[in-house]
Amino acid sequence: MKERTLKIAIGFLLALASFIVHAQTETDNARMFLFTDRDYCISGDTLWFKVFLKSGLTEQGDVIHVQLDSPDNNLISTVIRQSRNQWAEGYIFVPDSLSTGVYFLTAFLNSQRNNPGLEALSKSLFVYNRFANEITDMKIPTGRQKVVPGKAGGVQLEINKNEFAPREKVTVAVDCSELNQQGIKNVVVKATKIDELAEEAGGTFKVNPRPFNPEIPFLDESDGFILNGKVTDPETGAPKAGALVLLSIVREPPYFDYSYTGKDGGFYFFLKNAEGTTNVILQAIPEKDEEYKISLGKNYLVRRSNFTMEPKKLTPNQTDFISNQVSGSFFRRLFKNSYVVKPDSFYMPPRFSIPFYGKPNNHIVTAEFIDLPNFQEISRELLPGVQYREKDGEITFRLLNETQSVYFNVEPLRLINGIPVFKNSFFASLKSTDIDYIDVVLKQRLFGDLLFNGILAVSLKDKSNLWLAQQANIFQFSVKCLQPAKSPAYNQEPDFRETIPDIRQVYLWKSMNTATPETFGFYLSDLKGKVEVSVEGVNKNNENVKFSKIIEVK
Amino acid sequence: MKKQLKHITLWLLVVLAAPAVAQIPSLTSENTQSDLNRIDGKTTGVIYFITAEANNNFFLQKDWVTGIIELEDGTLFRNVRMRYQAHDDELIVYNNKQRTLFIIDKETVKSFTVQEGTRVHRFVKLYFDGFGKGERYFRELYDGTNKLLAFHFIDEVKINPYTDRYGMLRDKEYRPAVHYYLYNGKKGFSRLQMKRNSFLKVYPEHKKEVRKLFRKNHIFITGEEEMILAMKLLEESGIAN
Repeated sequence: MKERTLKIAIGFLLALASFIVHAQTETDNARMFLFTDRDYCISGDTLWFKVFLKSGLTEQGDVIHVQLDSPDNNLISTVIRQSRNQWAEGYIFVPDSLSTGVYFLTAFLNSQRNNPGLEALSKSLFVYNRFANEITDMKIPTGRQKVVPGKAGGVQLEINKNEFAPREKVTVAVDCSELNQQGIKNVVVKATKIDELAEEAGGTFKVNPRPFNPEIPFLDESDGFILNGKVTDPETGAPKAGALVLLSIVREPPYFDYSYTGKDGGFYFFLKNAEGTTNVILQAIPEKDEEYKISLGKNYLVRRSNFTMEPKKLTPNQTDFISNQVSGSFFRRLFKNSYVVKPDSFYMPPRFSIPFYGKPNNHIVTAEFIDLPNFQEISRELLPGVQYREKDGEITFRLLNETQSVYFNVEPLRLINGIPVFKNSFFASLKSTDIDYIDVVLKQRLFGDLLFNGILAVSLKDKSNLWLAQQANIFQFSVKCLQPAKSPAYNQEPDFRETIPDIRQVYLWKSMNTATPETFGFYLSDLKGKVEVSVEGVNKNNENVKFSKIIEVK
Repeated sequence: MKKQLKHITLWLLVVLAAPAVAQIPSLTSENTQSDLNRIDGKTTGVIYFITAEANNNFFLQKDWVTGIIELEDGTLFRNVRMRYQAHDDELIVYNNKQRTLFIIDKETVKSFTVQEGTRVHRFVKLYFDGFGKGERYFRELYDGTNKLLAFHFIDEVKINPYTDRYGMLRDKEYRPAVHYYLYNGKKGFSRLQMKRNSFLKVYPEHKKEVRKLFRKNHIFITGEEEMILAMKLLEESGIAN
């Protein structure tokens, strides 16, 4: 009887073990699939990517980090892109100065960094430096588990011919209705020149990364991202714990937030719906007259073990291919500057209908009044409830507490263009003609846990903020926020003037809904050789599937 | 054999324990941040000084209650100590770091939920376009195609002067009052009373059907529960859609 009970117990335990192992695999496989418009590029190029998040992952945030790093874990570049319907599409610049070699692209969610058993997929990118003369050997990755895409059954890929002349139009009819029945809703359709070396030695590799900075909160990033940095002593580099860090973004209405540094001097801000590139002003508030240094950090993954790279002698064909691509890149830059992605503008919708300092008691547009020569006159004539006192060269502000009908006995929060100011002398010389408007809040207000005894907000006509240089512990950084939606220029009709060479390597790069068949048309470039037309996606079992056909350009 | 089985069982238990230890619970936004000062959003407002008069007369809840605040941008703040001040239609929140009360900026609030004993009340902010235009907090009784809302306020009533127990001469009394509204995104607000006829007036073209529906379901509109049930039935029958 006892033996039978034990057997049942073992049976139960084995079933439980299998369930847990399965569940564990699901956690480990909580990954994303990254597709790139090509497997190789020339330094200085822009690489386009599409990332697919499996359904469970979308609950952990919708903001995807894509990083480009070297085999020995040096971060080259990183972008943040918001996903929609499980897909994120964006681009990453490959620096001009990057030396020839194999690099890796990895996509991750911020919350995934918390998973100690995280298994990510890194996609290789063969980069050829644009000044390289003749590349005869390269180091290629070995000793890693390469993910070979499965064959997508049921894809009907009809191409009008198999052999084409340069600049000829190619028509591709794609029918993925069977994939749709299998649960694959979207696929990536691309046509690109094949680099035999990247095809042979590159691909997607399984890696076990860990966060570079584990102190960054493992927050589910939805509609925004975490901006992180450190406050240190400028001389010793020692971290400053417990320092108040203020963040301002000059816009209308101004954006403000604050954070306290942790033991390691780290601070974190969550920038919601911030898209594009902007200047972020950070200031650390010292307890005494100390000087602080603020630096921004990066949020990325490092592999627990580096890739093993082995030298490989290239075949003459491979060397020729690279040389052709490198010289082609020169012409592309010369004649096709439309391929260069334009700099990002910045967009961040206001969080609420009122500024962070609340509804002002008085909103004074100075242009509606007579010109006044300095701020003392302005406060006297235009700002009821604002006391401006100058004694022994020291300027003090006091605001009326409207609720209690007495003046606060401490300084209010003073803002110039939304940036907190701690030197009142900045206000002294401001003429009414320099000012756009002044907001005065005659109340004691809370922002999170910060208490303000009234607010005096001056918005200048000049938003260049040159005065910042005179204030201590204030730093301005250009921050790349969520990447705005853009699409590659090669998706547009090419310019077919005979005199201008066309050296595109990618001809087609589009997402396709598998529900309805689609026909794509593209023009080939002047480059001869093999072109791969492929359909890639991710099936229900979370496996990468691919179907492709090769056409010849002669 | 028995011994071997026991060993296998023990071994399996050890193996099963390992992944259970390896599973570190994921840190979500809820457990990394404090109540009102979070990395993904902060509450803002004006400091509030409570008086004895306000404490006794102005609030809908007799005591401080715990609740959830949802801001306009979707940020949620849980475990917040708060009270709805019906006299000025404001939400008063306690900031435990500053140990102070503040009126949360109405412009930033989308809704709030308070737990009173076993009952949960959800309040939503809506723009009221009737007399006394502006944004108001309404207690949501029913949320379907239409909303059944209750607007609480404090009526100041003039009474014969009297001396209270502290020797103060008083000539007014604060009486809690409530107005009910039917809210439809397209049609706006319609005033409702806790009467059957009031419902009939809202749907004049369906008077007969409404009467029949109420009679069949023994609805006499004598309390909030019956108002909710009536609203539900009206929507289910298609009259209120």
